[in-house]
Amino acid sequence: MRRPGPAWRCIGILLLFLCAAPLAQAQERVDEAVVKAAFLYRFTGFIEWPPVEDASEEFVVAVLGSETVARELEGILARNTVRGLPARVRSLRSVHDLAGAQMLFVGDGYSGSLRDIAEGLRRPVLVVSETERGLDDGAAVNFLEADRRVRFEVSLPAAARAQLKVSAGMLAVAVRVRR
Amino acid sequence: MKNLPATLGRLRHSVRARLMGMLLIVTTLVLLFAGTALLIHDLSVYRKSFAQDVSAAASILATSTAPAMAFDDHAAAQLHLSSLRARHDVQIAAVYDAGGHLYESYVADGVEPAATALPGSRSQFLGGERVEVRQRIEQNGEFLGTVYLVFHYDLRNRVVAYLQIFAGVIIFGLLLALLLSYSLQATITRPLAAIAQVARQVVEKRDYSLRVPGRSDDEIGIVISGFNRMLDEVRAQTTALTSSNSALTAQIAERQAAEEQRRQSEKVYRAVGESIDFGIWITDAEGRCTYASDSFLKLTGLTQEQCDTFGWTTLLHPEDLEATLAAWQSCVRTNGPWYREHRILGVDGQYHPVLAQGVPVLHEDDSIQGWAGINLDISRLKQTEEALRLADRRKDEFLATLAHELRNPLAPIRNAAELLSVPSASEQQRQWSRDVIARQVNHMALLLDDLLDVSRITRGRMELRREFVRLSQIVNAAIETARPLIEARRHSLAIHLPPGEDLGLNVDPLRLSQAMSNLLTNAAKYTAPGGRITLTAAIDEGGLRLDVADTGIGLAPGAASRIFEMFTQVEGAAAHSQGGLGIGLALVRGLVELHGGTVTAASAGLDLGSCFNIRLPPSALISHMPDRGIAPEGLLAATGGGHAVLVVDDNRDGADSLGLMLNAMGYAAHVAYGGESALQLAERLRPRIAILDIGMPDLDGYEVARRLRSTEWGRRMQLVALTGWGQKEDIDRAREAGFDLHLTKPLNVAKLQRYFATIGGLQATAASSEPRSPA
Repeated sequence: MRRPGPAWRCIGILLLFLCAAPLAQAQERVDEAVVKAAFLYRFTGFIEWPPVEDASEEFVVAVLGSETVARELEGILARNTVRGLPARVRSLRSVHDLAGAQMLFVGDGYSGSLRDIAEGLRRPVLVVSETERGLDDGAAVNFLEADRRVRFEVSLPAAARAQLKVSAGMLAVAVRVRR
Repeated sequence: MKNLPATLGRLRHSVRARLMGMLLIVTTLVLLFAGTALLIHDLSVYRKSFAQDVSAAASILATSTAPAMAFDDHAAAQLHLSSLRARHDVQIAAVYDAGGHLYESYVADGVEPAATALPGSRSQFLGGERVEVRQRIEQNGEFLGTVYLVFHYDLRNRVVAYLQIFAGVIIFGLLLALLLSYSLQATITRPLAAIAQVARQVVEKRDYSLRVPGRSDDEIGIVISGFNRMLDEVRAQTTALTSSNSALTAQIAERQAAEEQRRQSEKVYRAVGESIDFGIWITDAEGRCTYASDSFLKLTGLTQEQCDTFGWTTLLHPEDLEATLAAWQSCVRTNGPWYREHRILGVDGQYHPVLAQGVPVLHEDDSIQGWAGINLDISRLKQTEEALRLADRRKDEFLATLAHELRNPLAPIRNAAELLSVPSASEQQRQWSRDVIARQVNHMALLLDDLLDVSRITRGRMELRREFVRLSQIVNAAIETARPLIEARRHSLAIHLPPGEDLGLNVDPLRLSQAMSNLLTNAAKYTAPGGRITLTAAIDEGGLRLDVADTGIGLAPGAASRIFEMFTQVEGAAAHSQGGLGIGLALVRGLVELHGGTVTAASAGLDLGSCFNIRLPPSALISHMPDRGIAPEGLLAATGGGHAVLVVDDNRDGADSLGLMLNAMGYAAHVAYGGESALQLAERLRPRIAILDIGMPDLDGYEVARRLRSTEWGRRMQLVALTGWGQKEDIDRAREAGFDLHLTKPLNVAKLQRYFATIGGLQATAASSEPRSPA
C-alpha cells in the first residue's frame, strides 16, 4: 500500500475536525436504531401474549416515528420468525393503521400523543417507546440510554393492562421496573 | 502336658499358621476385589454425575444469562457468572457472544484468565482434573452466545480419600479375620496339639499305652479316636513283634554259633587235609573230581576244570593207567572205599608215586554223595623201599660171600688136622700142617676183625686213639701188612714220601695204617700178577694226601662213587678177586672219615688201572707246613729250646700226651695230675710256662693260677688255660684269674706254637735232646 504523503495527511486531519461532529452523530443514530431493532425483536421472546380467537397468520410490528428502526427491524424479521409466525414491519403514518399489530414501537419522531395511543388500544399490544416519559404515557417498555448504551425500563402495570406477561429474565436486565 | 506351649509354638508354624495365612489372604483378596470394584464403580458414577452436574450448571447459566446476552447487559451477565463463586470447583466461568468473543468471565483465584476467543471444542474431561463444558445461549431460536465453564475435577483427592477409607476397612477386616481365626483355630489346633504331644511321647518313650484325651463328635473327634485305635493296634503288633523278634534272635544266635563251630571244624579238617602232600580231593557221585588241592594242581599243572573232567588220568604212568581206571570204575560201581598207588606225571617231567586214598561220602538216606580223600606223596617211602630192597640184596650177597670166605680156610685146616692125626706123618709134614693152620686161622681172624671194625664204624662205636706218630711209621706198618700178598702176586711197589723231615701226625696209627694196608691189599688183589703199585705221600694246602695207584683192572665209569659202599664189589671183578667180603673199601672210608678226611677213587677206565686217594685235613698234622720254603721253623722238634714247661691235667692221658708232644717240640715237659701236686712241682722247678686244665677235683685251674700269681716268681710265669669251655665269660674269668692265654680242647698246636713264638727267648736254642717218639 502506498503511504499517504504528508500533505494528504494534513488535509485528512483538517477534514476530520470539520466533519467529525455531524458525522459521528449520524452514525450514532444509525447504531442505536440497529440495537433498538434487535431489542425489539428479542422482546418478543420474553413477553407472553395472551391467546386470541382470531389468530392471525403473521406477527406484525408496527413502527411509528422511526423509519430507521423500522428499516432495521424489517431486515431482522425477514430472516426470523416470531413465536413461530412469519413477521413483518408496518410503518405507520397514523395510529389508525394499528389493526393486526401485536407490537408497537413509537419512535421519538412521532409527534402525536403516546398516551392517546396507549389508552386507545383495546387489544394486547406491547407498546415500546423511547421517550423519557414513555412509561408515564402508558408504554410497557421504554428505551433509554445509560452509560452510553441502549437500555430499557418496564412498566408492569402497563403490561398487565395490555394482558401481557413479562418474563423475569427480561425484568432482570431492565434498568428499572415499574410495578 | 507340660510341653503344650512348645507344641503350640510348633503348631503355629504348621496348621495354625496355614489356617491364619489362608484366612488373611482370602480376606485381603476379597476386600481388594470389592474395594477395586467399588472404586471403579464409584469413579464412573462420580464422573457421570459430575458431568451431569456441570452440564446442568452450564445449562442453568445459559438460561440465566440469555436475557443479559439478549440485551447486551454486561452487569447482568457478570452477576450470573459471579453466582458460581459459591462453587469452589469452578475455575473459569465465561460467556462468549455469538461472534465467539469473550463477553464476560469469572475466574477463580490463581487461575489464568479466560481466553478472549472461545477455545476450540475438545473432550469434556481434560487431563484428568480439568473438565470443561460449553453451552449455547439461545433465545427464541436465536444464537446469542456460548457459556464456557471449566471445573476442577478433583479425582485425586477423591481417590485418596477413597483409599484411606479402603485401607481402614482392610485393616479392620484383617483384625476381624485374625480374631476370628484365633477363636476358630483353638477348636482345631488344640486337639491336634494334644495328638502331636501324645505321638511324640509314644515315639520317645515307646509307651504304646498312652492315649489322646478328649472326645467330640466332629472330625477332630474322629481323628482322635482313630489315632487311639491305631495306638491299640500298634501296641498289639509291637508286643507280638517283640516276642517274635526275641525268639528269632535266639535262633539266629544259636545258628551262628553252630555255623561258627562248623566253620572252625571245617577249617581244622581242611588244614589237616591241605597240610598233606598233595592235599585232598573230592568227587561227585559219578566220580568226577569237584575239588583238588592247590598242591596237587601245582604238581600236575592241571586246572581245577581239567581235574573235573578226568584230566588227571592222562597224566598217569602208562603202566598204571589201566589198573587205576579199572579200580576206579569198580569203586564207583560198588560205592566202596578207594585205595590206589600210582605214578603221576608232574610238571617237572618226573613221575611221582602218589597214594590216592579216600572213602565214600553218603547222604542221609545212605545214597552216595561222592568220595573224599587224600593224595599222599609216597616218593620218599618208595625210595626207602627201594633202598631197603637193595640193602637186603647186598646183605644176601654178603652173607653168601661171608659163608664162602669163612668156608675157604676150613678145607686146608681140615686137611692139616687130618695130616696131624696121621701117626705116620713126618715132623716136616706136621710142621707144614701147623703152618697151614696158623696161616688160615690168621686169615680168618683178619676177616673177622674187619667184620667187627665195620660193624663198629656202622654203629658209631669206633673210637680213635690219636697219637703223635711219624708218617714213615704209618707207611711202614701198612706195607708190612700188605707185603705178603704183594710179593705173592709179584707186584712191584714204589714209595714216594715228601722230602726232608719225616712228617709228624696226630692220628690213630693203627687205624690209619689199617686203611692204607687195605688200599694196598686191594690194589694187589685187583691187579694182574706182576703189576705195579705206587704209594705217594704229599703235603699241600688241603693237608696230607696219600695216593695208592695200580695198573689193575680199573673201574667202569660211574663205579668210582659206589665202590665205597658196604658189601659192594665191582661186578666182573670176581675173576680177579682173591676173595674178600667186599667190606674193605667201606672200612677204609669209615676210618678216614673218622679222621676228618675223605677217600676217593679215580680210573681212566676198565683195565687202565685205578688210583685211590686219601686226604687228611691240616688238623691231622702236628705242625702246619704249607710251604717249607716260607716257613723255616720246620718241624715241632726244632723249636723248644729245652725250657721247662709244667703241664697240669687230672686226665692222665691228656697230660701225658701233651707232655710227650712238648718234649717232641724240644721243651722239657713236666706233668702233674692235680692242683696241689702242680703247686709243689712249680715251687720246686720254677718253670717259665704252665699249661693248666681248669676242671680238677682238688684245686681248679683258676685257683692254681691265683696262687701261682701270689708268689714272687709266679708273677713272671706264662700261664695258659686249656679247657673245654670256650665261651666269652670263660675267657674273661680266666683272664681275671691271671691267665695270659685261653685255649680250648682239643688243643690247636699251631696256636700254642705261635703263642710261644711271641714270648721272647723260648726257641732260641736248638733241641738239646732227641725228641721221644710216642708209644
